Amino acid sequence: MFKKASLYHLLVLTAWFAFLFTLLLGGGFKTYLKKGYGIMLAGGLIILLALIINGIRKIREESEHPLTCTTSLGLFLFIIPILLAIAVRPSSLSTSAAASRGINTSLAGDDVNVLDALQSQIASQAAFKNLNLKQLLLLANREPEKIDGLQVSVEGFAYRDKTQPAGSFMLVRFLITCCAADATPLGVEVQSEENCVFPTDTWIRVQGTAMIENGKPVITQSHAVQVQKPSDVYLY
Amino acid sequence: MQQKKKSNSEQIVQRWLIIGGVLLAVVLLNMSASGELPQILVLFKNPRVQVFTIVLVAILLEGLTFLLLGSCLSGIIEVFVPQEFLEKRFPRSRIPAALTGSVMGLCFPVCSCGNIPLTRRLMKKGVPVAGAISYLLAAPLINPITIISTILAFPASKVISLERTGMAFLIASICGIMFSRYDRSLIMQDASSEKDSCHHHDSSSKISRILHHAEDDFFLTGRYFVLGAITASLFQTCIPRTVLGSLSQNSILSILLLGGLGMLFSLCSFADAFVASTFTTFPAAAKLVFMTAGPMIGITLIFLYLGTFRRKFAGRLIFTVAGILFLFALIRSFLGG
Repeated sequence: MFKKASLYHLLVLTAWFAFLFTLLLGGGFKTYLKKGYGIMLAGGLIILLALIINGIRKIREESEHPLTCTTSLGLFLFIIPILLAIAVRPSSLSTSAAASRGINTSLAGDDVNVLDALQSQIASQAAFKNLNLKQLLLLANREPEKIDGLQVSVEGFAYRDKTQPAGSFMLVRFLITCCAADATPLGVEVQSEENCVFPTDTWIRVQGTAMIENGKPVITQSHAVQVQKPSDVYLY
Repeated sequence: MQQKKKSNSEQIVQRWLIIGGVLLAVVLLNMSASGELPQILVLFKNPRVQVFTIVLVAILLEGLTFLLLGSCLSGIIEVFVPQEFLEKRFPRSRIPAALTGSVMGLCFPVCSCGNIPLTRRLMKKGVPVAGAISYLLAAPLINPITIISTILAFPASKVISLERTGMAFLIASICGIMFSRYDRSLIMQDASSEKDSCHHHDSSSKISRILHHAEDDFFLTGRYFVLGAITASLFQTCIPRTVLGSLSQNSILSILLLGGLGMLFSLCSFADAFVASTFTTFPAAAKLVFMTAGPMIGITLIFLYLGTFRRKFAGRLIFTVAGILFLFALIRSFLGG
């Protein structure tokens, strides 16, 4: 039994099935992939299940022959990422990744539907307009006159490096297209009369007045409060 | 002769595994004796280790699903599509075959990792080498999803999507024609073992045979994909994108730089356009190379090519694509951007 390659194939397939199932069920896949890709993962699970069922049947039919070292190593390679994910338990991309990838303070885009939805959002709400960083940067790029003087409420994590002047920090959030590998950090400078009291990586909601300075949006903070990390940490 | 080679390499692998195992045991015993073993847990909290893990698992979650899908499609073709069908229907002359393969992605869009087992199967089923190779290179780029995502990523310059598609079409067709004279035995690895396993399962149901082939293809290509994903994640974690800006002014250097980066980062063809759009200081030619190099000869694909095809052929394919891509980028740069 233990000299059958199909047994070890089955173990690898089962390990990946369990891993994918756990990520899908608990929503943990959103740390790695775009929210809508859950359907794709579900498809992968179905294929894995079919392979597992077929694999159980194959074990009875296959003849025994010893596994080579190379084959064993190849199979172990499949397990390494699962073991790493369990051991490391990553939460989400943080300031370290933001610093390495470079924070974008402008965003081009001409998705007319998004801009139209933004117009009605800005027109309908009172006081501070609830915008995410993507919406803010998109609007600042396409219609900067609408941003200037607008009262906004934006959420992100705090980021500060040595090049920033006292009394300012960056509010950052990652934008992904498919998965965390392509994640691009978006950021807006927040100016405050007081020094930033929030440690780096803390999730905060900033309320203030948006302005355009040197072609880029800046928020003059009137109020900032720590918030819980959202379940959807990325923007899409 | 091949058996002797295999047993020699098997012995080398065994030797290195034993040496590695002994070294690891010595290190762990030493750390345990000095009370430093719990510090391994602290290492897991290191931001770079966290980023590496997230990027690795992200690439695998996305890619393995497409690899499973590609393997299943490969199994379906093996069981349901008779060899005579493809031999009769697919153009046999090298230029029409290459051109047909280049546009097949419009009908059969599969991610770059998923179409490796599919290409292998198509070649075994009688699709000419020219058609199979051009499909392999073009399918990740010449498909509706990639074309639309490129248009969305560059709203101010919609022509860049046309340029990307055109470049991919030309490179894939040229490579298909160039490699058309290769015999399948000089391209594919382990053709004979596949025949034996097919015969063994002739009596099983069709679904069982499809799944059998899918499993074989998945494990054959999957381990190289994992290796490639580990390498791409390492580069993504260790190479900061922020240093690139200072090197963007020289057109040749910027082409080489973004081309190399595209290969090392191995982003999927739907997403790399959005990443390329953030390199605002780079010329268009360099961004085109970034968006084309990754889906054709990214590091993940290099591992897959080396594991699927004979090493000599894989090496020649990779260098040919890189060379033609660089040439086209230079021409584009000369024409303005």
